Amino acid sequence: MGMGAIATIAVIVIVLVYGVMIYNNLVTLKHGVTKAWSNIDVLLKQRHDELPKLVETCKQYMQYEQETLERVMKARAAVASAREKGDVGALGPAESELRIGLGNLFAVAEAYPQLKANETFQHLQTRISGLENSIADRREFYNEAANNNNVRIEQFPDIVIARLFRFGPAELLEFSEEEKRDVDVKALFS
Amino acid sequence: MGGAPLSVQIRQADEVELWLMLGVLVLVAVIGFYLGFRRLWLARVIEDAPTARIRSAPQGYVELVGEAKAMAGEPIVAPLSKTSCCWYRYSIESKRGGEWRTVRKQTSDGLFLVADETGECVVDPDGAEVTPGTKRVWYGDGDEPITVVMPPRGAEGVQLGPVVMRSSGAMFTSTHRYTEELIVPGDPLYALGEFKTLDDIDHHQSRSEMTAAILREWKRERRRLMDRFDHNRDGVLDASEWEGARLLAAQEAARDHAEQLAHQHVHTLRRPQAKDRPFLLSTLPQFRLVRRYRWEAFGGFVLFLAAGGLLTWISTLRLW
Repeated sequence: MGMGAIATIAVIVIVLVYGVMIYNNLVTLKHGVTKAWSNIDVLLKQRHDELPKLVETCKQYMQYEQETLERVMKARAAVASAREKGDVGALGPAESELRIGLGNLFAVAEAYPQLKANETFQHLQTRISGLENSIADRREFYNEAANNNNVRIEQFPDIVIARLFRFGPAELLEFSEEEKRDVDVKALFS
Repeated sequence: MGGAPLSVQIRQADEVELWLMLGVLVLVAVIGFYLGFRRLWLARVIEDAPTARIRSAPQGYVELVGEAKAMAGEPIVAPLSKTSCCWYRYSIESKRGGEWRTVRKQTSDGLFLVADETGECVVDPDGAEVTPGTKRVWYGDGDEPITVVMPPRGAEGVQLGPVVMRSSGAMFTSTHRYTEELIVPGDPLYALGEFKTLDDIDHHQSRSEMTAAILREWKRERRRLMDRFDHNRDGVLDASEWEGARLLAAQEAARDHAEQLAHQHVHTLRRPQAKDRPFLLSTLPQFRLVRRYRWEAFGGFVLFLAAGGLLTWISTLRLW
């Protein structure tokens, strides 16, 4: 066996091991995205369970804010539907709608001192706000996982393995610009 | 044989020398191969791990980026420089026959914190691959580094200011070498490991237990209890007055319980149980750590190719 043959074998071994490493890496990334989605899902479910309690508590004091309460419940149903289907594209707008609804609800609640003093309301407001923060954090976490996956499958040499074994891109979870806008408290009371 | 070309020396080497040489080269090639891929894989793991925030980090294998902080209580003090730190690793070596041999070495396994803008997490560094930012090497002539110049100490004997180390001798004439690596409070910290939130709800009392405890406490001060709840002033707490006291105690218990719940979570980061997942701690920023691992991977592959090439060349000279 000549030097050339040995060098060829060495190169083939390196390429093969590198290929296996890239494949395993892409599998890890794919499952990382799935896990990051599950991490958001857990919190969405928790908030889904808390919202009816909040709306029920508010109903006792806010007889004239049915529209605000209905908007929250409608958005809650849309989020649940997107969540159950695992539809990242639909979750973004539904989540934005729910956040706007909740923002309005908490802003309107300022006008009801008895509601504000209610312990259950205080507890639920703290709990839901905490969940909102965690959902926002985990959305960033999910998007980073998805972005890492999407960058890898377009980079060389990963693209070769990704095309060969059909590793696809992950959808980013985007909230609309409207959701990021501050709640117009004045407009709510006009 | 000294002046002969290498190929001639190899052709003239006896069987034992030849096989020893081949054995060493195989070992070096294998180490280079392993090191190359291991470091490349580590770099990719770091690049691909999304960064979590401590308050909402998912349970499991996560990457955290923050600042090192010491835990409250007994401080961790680096044994050689007596610097108050979060983590240390040191070695004392003595020169024997022109070579440095380790006399003593130790790695800290004390807990410390990593903090980001959302919270704090306890780090258990046991089993971590640590890349600290601070490394000091100095020389002296004893088993203890007596040449350390120390600023004044605090009340508990902990070093307050930075430590200045002066070598008592030059690198080549000293008999001892001291090496110390540190992570100090305030250092930026990159951490990759198993995140777990400990829920110590089991250690908390239930609301009914807390209500009962509050009532017991009130009963001990009978006069105050009567003043507060004996509304008809007949010297006896009847059923409705007692129910009033119980309701108030229950409200107080609910408040205390809510407070306990708010403080019950302790986040921890430790070595993952799965052996294929690295546990990394570094004061280097992520991109520099990745760059370092990529250079080490490159070094490993160069080692592999050099040893492999030499192995093949010797084999063609003597075996084929």
